[in-house]
Amino acid sequence: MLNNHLQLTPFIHIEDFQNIRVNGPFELIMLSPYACQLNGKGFTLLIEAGDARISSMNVEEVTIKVQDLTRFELKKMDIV
Amino acid sequence: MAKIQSGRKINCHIKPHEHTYAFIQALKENKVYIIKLSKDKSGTSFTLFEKDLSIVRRIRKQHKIPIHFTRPDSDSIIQFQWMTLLGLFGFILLPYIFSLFLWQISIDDVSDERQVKLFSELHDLKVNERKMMSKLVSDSEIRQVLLAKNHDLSWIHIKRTGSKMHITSVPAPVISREPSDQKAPSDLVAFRRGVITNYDLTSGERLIPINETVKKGDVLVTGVLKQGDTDIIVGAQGQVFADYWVEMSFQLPTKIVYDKFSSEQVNLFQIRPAWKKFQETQSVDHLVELVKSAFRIERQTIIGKSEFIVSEQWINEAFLPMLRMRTASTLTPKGKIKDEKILHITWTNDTVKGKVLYYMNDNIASKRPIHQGD
Repeated sequence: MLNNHLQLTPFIHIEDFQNIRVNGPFELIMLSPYACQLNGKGFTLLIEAGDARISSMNVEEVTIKVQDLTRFELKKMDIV
Repeated sequence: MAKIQSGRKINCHIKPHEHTYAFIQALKENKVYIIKLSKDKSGTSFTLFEKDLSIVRRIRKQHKIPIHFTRPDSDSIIQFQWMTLLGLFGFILLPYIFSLFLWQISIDDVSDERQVKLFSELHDLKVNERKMMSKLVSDSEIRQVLLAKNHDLSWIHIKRTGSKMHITSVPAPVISREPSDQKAPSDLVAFRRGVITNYDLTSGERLIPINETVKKGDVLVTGVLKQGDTDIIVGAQGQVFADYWVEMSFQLPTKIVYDKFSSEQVNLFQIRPAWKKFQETQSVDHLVELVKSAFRIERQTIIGKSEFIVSEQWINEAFLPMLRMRTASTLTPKGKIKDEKILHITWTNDTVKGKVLYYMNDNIASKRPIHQGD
């Protein structure tokens, strides 16, 4: 678990691996109790965990509350 | 980051639907703040603020998604927020504060002039509208002052209901004796036997000297004055007082039974008699009567019998003074009872009989028109 603030890309902030904040335009592709997938700025963010829940969401920002994180994947999408 | 405004929250639940993500995306793009978004087998749940509800409804229609809205705080009727508490406090406090003041004074009187006069007299007593109730003078003092200033009133009713004061004046009864025609000149004639004690005349000439006995029908004062050979008719007016005896007899049962109100009985749901009738003959009338009986309220006054045994002490201390007062009430204002003699009181098994003699002084003159020919 990372306690220090970690900024992975211009739009993902991880305060710890229980609260993941994503800034900027994004699209919610998938949400289930175990996974959450967001698309934005040509990237895909996939989170898999024991429990994934969006604690807040508005136009510019989404905060995802995660418990027992099993997979955290950021992929650059192919530009078609 | 959008600023979160305080407001009431609403829980939303969407059953599994293919347009769920598009709907949520549309909400997000329309600046709807979404909280606690989660998804499970039963569907998607999230919370939003009530202020965004109209936007949510509009988007929901576009996407044709059924949403179930619930309020997380719907089971508590009163929202414990500052404004609610302040309003609630005002709701209790304001009526209480207003109830401390007198808001309305109304006066009920037959004469408008006296109504205005009473208002000004109340004003002098510092009984005004918009004044604190606790600083007002007492009802008895108001009554005392108003009665002292208005001799033509016999009583003042003061009724206070809440912060209203209603004053009703009761005018004194106008006592008019001798309603006889004042225009027709007349003589004064004795209407009973008595010994003349004094005259109180405004016109006419005395015929009978004082301390002389007169019979019924004797002319006491003449309304015809003689001036030489001519008669001048002036008409006699006034009163002639004489002493006379009046005998009063009474008869009372020795045991007086009277009804005394003891209580009131209220009967509700007296269905049984109507039900019995309905069971005997099942007709529409009886059914109507049965239904009516369920709503009927019967009030029954329960009266207790009270017994009172007449005693000699009661006769002397209560009954005779009462009889004396009753006799005195038949006299004119200047008349009086000079003496009282009990002739006899006879007790039998169930009755008590008695005779009382009153020595009275009162006006014995009545008017008799002077016959002036045609």
